[in-house]
Amino acid sequence: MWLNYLKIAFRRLANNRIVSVLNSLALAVGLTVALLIGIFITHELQYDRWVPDHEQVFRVYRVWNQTSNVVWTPSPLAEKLRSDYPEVISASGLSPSGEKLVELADKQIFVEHTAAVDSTFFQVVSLPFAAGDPETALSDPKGMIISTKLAEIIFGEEDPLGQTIRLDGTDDYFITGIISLEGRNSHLAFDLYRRFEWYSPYWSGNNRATYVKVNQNSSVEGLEGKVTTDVNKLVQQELAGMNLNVNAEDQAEWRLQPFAKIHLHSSEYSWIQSKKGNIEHLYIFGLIAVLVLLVAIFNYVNLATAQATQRGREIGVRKVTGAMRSQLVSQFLTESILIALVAGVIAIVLTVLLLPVFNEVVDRTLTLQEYGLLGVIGMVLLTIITGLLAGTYPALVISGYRPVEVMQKKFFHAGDKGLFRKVLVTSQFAITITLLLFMAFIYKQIHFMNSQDLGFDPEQIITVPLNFSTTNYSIQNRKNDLLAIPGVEAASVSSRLPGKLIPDWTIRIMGREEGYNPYVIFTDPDFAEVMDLNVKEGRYLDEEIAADSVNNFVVNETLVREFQLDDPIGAEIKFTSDTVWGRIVGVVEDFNFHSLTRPIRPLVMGGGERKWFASVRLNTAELDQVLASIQTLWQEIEPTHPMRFEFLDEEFAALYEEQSRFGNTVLYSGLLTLLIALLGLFGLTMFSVQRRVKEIGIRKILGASVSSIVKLISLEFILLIIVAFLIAVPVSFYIVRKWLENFAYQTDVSWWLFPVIGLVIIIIAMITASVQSLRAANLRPATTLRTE
Amino acid sequence: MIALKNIEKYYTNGFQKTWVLRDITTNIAQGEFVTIMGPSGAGKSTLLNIIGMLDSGDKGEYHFLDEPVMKLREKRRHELHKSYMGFVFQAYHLIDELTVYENIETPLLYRKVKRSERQSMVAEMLDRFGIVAKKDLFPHQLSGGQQQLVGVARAIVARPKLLLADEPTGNLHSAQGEIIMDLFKELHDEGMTILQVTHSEKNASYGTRILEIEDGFIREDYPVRQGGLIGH
Repeated sequence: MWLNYLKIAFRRLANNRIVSVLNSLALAVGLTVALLIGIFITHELQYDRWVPDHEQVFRVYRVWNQTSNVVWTPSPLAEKLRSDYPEVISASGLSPSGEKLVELADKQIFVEHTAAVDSTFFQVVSLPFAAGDPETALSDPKGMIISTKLAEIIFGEEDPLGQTIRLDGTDDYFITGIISLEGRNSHLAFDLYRRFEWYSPYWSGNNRATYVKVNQNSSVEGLEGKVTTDVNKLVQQELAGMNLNVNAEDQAEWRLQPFAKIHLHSSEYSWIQSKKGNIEHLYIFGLIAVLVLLVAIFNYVNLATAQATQRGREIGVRKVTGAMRSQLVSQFLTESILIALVAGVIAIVLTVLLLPVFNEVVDRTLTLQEYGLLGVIGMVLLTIITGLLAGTYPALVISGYRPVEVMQKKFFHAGDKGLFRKVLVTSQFAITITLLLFMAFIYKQIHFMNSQDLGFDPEQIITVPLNFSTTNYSIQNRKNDLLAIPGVEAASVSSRLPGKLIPDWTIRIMGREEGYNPYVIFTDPDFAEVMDLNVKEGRYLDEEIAADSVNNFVVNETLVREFQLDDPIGAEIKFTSDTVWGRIVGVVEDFNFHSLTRPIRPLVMGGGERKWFASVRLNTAELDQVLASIQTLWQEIEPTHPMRFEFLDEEFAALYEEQSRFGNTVLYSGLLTLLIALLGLFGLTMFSVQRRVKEIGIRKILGASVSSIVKLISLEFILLIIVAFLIAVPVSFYIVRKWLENFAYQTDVSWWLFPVIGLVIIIIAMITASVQSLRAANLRPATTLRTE
Repeated sequence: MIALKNIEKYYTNGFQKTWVLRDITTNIAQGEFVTIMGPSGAGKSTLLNIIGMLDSGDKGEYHFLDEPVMKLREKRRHELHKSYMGFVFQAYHLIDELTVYENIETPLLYRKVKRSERQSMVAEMLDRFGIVAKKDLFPHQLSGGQQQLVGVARAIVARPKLLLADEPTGNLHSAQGEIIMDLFKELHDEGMTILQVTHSEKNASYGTRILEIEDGFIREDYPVRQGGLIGH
C-alpha cells in the first residue's frame, strides 16, 4: 500500500513540476530558516550546561532598586561565603583583566580575553583541565592557566606545562594548567587565567565577580536572604565609619544566578563578556523561525487545496474502487511528507551554504558537526512534522469529496469558495509585511543612533589603550612631540573613554548625609579639547592649577540637576574613601558617554592618576602618514608593546553591533518569508488561470483587453495583500514601540515608512501575479475554448 | 439481491422540490443483466449511483442482500460496496499517474489482498483481456477502447457480485463498444449480476431485462426476448 502511495506521489511530483518546485522550494526555505535558527538556539542553550556540577554553581549579583543588576562584588565576599555558611562548599572571585601582551622568546601575542581569579576558582567551577591540577594550579602566585587554543598558538607541538612566559613585558609566569573546552561553549571563555594581584578589604567597594558552589539541595533563597542581611550590615557599618548613612532602601539585594543561566540572562548586567547571549533575542528568533515555517506550510496548504480541484476524478475513482477515507488521508500525507523530505534535503544543502553568512550575522562559529546524530534525528523529525502539518488540512478536505460530485467535472469549486485559502494568503503577507516593517524600524533606529549628536565629537579621534600605569607620565613627557606631528590637533589621557565600560563611585556632597553614585572618568586637562566638550559654567581642569590634578572636579549637567546642586561651582564633594574634600570647578554640557540605549547619567571628571587610554584628535587628509608618525613616537612611549589603536566613532558605532546583527536577522528572515509568500502567490495565480481559462477565452472573444484580464486575475490577490497590510500596520506598530523601549533615545515611528514598505510589497506581488495572468491573457481564445 | 421500495430522491431549492427519482420500486435478482434506459436527465445515473451506494435516496427502502442499506452505518455500507460491487464509467476514469497494471491492482490494495495473490489476480485479468503487453503503459498511451478494457478489468478484478456500468460504451467507436459488450455478456454468462445505463438499444439487447425511466418514474419494466430482439 505504502509503495503504491509513494509511487503515485513520485509520479505526481514529476508530472506537476512547477507545483512541485514551488512547494518544495518554499518548504526548503522555511526549513532552512528554522534549521539555522534551531541550530543557533540549541547552541545558545548548551552554554555551560555541560560543566560538571553546574547546578550547584552560582554567580553572585546585586539588584539595585529592583531594576539594575550588577555583577561586581566586594573582594572579601568569597572568603565570607566560604567560612560563614555551611551550605557553601567553596567560593571564589573572578575579574576580567582585559587584553594582555604575552611574550615567549621572540613571539609577541596580544591575548584579548584574560582573567584574574582567586587560587580556588577551579574548585568552584569545574572547567576541564587537559593538563595540570585544578586544585593546585594557582597555588603559586606566579602560576598561570591557559586555554588549549592559546597553548597551540604559543607553543605549537611543545608541552606548555612548566614553561615560562612574560606578561606585559614585565612579569614572568609559568604555565601550571591547560583548560580544554573541547569545542563546547562556556561564558568563561578566557584564554588566560592568573591570580589576583590585589585585594581590597572594603565591603563598600565592588571589584570582582564571586562564584559560589553550594551543597546539593541547599536552599538558594535562604542563602540569598542570609547574605543580603549580613553583607548589607557590613556595608552599613563600614560607611558609618566614614560618617555616611545609608538608607535601607538604597541597599542592594544579594542574589545568586545559576551558572548555566549566565550566558543568556546577563544582557542587562554591567559585565564584560565576549559573545554575550540574549534570551529575548532567542525568543524572538524562535518566533521568527516558527512564523517563517508557518508561511511555508501555508503555501503548501494553499497549493495543495488549489491543486485538489484537478484531482476530483482520482479521488472519486479511488473511493469507488473501495478506498476508505483514512486510506486517502494516508495517501495525501505520504505526498506531503515526501515533498517535505525533498525540501529537507534542499534545506540541508542551503544550510551548509548559508552557515558562514549566518555565523557572521549572529557572531558565532556554529557548525553542523556539533550536533551529530541528534541533529540528524531532529532534522528528520522537523521535516516529517512539517510534512504532516502541511498535509493534514488538504488531506482532510480532499478525502472528503463525494465521488458522484467530483467525477464528472474537470475542475470544481471547493465548498468554502476558497475562504480558508484567502485567510492563509492574507496571514502569509501579514507576517511578511510585519517582519519587514519591524526590520525597517530597527535600521532606522540604528541610523538614528549613529547620526545623533552625542554632545562630543567622536570623529577623527584615535584611541590607544595603555598597558602600564606609568605610561601616563611618558605621554605627558612626550606630549609636545606628539602635538608637533602635523595633523595632530590635541592629545589626552584618561581613565576611561566614552562608549567603554565606565565605573561608578560613591561620592559625598558637603552638608549632606547620604552618598551618591555618579559615573567617574579621570582625565588630564586636554580631554575637553580632544573630545570637543562644551563647558557651560566655570572651566575645565587646568594644568596650571595644582588642585585640578588632585581633587578639583568637573561634572555634567545631569549631575547638577539630579543631585540638586543649586550652585554647583564651588560646591564641595569627595569620594567616600578620600580624606580631603574637593571642589567643583566646572560644568560641561551633557554628552553621551554610554551608548544611546541608555540615558545620560550623572558624571564626575577628576584629575586622578589612573589613566588607561590615550586619545588623539587628528585633522588630516593623510591619515596613514600621521598614523605612521604617531606609531614611531609610540615606540618610545611604550617600547614593550606595539601600538594598538581604534577610531572612537567606529568604536561607538560598534556599540550597536548587537542591534545591527539583530536587524540583519530580521531583514533576512523577512526577505525569505517574502520569497516564500511570492512563490505561493505565483502558484495560486497559476491555478486561478487554469481554472478560469475558459472564462478568459470568452471574455476575450467579447472584447476584453489584456490589461483587464490581468486585473481580473490579479485583483483578487492584491486585495488580500492590502488586507494583510492593514493587519500588519497595527501589529508592527505595537512591536516597534515595544522594541524601542529598550532605548533611552528613540527614533520617531514615522508614519510614511508604513505605506512605503506596503507599496513596495504590493508592487512586487502585483508583478508576481501578473506573470501568469499575462500568459493567460495572451492565449488565443480558439485554443482555450476548443478543449472544453 | 436488490430490493428497492418507494425510493425518492429530490433537491430542495428554496421552497421548491425538484424530483430526480420518485416512487422507485423494483427487485433485481442475482444473475440478472438489467439495462436502465431513458432520456437524458431521467434519473438513470442517479438510480445507478444509489444502488451502487455512491449516493443515497431521500426516502424509501433499499435492501441489498437483505441488508437495509439506508439504515446502515457508513462503515458497513462502505464494506458492502467494497465487497460486492464493481464500477465501469463512460469516461473510463483511470488514474493518470498509475500504469495499467497498477490501475487494475488498486481495488485489491484497498481490500488488503496479499501481494502474491494480487499478482496472480491482476495477471489473470491482463491475460483475459489480452492487454498483457500494455501492462506498463499509462492511460494516456492507450486508445479509448483499451482504456475501457482496463476500466472493466479494474471493476471485476476483486470478483464483485454486482457490476454497475454507466454508459460504458458512450465514448467508444462501435467496434470497440462491441468488444466491451461481448465481455459483459461473457461475464453475465459466468453468473455476474450486471446493471448498466445506456442510450443504445443495441447494448440493451445484450441484457435480460430493461427498466425504462422517465421523469424519475419507472415507466416500463420488461424482459429482453431470447434471440436478441427487443419487444413488448
